[in-house]
Amino acid sequence: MPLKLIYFPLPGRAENTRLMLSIGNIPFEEERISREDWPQYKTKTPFGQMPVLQLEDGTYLAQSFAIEKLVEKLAGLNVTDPIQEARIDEASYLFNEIMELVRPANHLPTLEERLATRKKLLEPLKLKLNTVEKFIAEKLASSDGPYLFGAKVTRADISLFTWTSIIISGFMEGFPEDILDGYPSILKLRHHVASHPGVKKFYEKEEDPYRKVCQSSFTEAALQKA
Amino acid sequence: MPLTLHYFPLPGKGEVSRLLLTVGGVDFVDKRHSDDWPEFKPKTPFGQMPVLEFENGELLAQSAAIELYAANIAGLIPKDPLAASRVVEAVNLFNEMADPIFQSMGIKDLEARIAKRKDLVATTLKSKFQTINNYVDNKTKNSPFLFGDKLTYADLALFNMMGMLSSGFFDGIPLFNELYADYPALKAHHAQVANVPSVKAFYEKETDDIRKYYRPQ
Repeated sequence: MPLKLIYFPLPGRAENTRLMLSIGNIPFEEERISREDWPQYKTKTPFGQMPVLQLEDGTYLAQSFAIEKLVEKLAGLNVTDPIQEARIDEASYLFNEIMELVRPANHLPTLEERLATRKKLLEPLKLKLNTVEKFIAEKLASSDGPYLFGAKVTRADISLFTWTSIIISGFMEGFPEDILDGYPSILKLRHHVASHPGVKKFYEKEEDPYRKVCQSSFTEAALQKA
Repeated sequence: MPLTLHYFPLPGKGEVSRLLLTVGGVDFVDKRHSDDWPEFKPKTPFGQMPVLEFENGELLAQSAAIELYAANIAGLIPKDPLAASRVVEAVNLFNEMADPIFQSMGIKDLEARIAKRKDLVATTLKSKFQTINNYVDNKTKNSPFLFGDKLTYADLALFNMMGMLSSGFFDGIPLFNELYADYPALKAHHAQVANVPSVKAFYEKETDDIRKYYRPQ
């Protein structure tokens, strides 16, 4: 059976995997489970969580970082040198801190609570983005290609793209859409990733408003404006 | 200069790397910073520890990246992509045991924090422990460790999590025997890892209270 990725319809913790599979031209199916249908699917997953990747032998692999590590290799986006691999991991986990920082607001039950919490998170988020901007600027300056680690896109570039997209997508009510305007290196890397043929191919098929910010036309306009 | 792991003295986010390098027989300096942290902080990539200092002086940050690198050079993660991902899957599952701690860390009032943690232990943590106990039970039906006869990164990640949570460091979270009373597979796994000669030897040299549950119980 082909690979099957099972998750909610939104980008969330599955988008890095979707993009890597698309970039690597790896055939895969998706099962996008709505919030209403999720409770009945929960018990079919190994640990009651998504995403899960159903492998060719029918078994399930859980935990987004584990799935990403596998798919990175399937898509030919991995490196063999342990130190280089560590540098890609370092960047990926740095960017993941953006998502960890905003987590406290995500599951609050009311809009008011989410808005109030996100208002308090805005300053820490900007400080984190400052660190990320500096890191990306340094990496791009010494890179011999459009991505952090040279001419080839890596899981780290894709992670930066996905997490920052989520922040400005409107999904996280209360975070201003122009929050990335003060970060030119972030915007530049976003645009390079959005322009990758494998990424463009994926978003051509996506229509939901939360993925509008993932279109290369959007990232280009953001770069021009900054 | 030698490979050096820089962290605070406590287990926290440095211990798994310490154990990976120790069990793997990799020569390294276990540098523990306390009063000199403010001086060292600006030298780190992101103002955080742990950082791993390579022989050429370059620093690697992010505990997960350091652990994966250490597991790699220590031979404690398989080379096969799917087998490696199964280990990473387990490590990430175990890391979720700490979620209730992080969820309660922001509560400034001690009594409120203790109350929140007691609630989490009875609900979220209980459900996590049950899931993980079942997982460990299944994985260790025919082998002492999670992925066969040899220790891997996943075993050390679980071992550290169990030791850290039950250490008494987190007010409101019970100590070892009470916390794991209903989870026989977890306790059996803990004993397996604690009795690995290089692990046992490591903790024989540690004298602090926070590591008391990193020894055979």
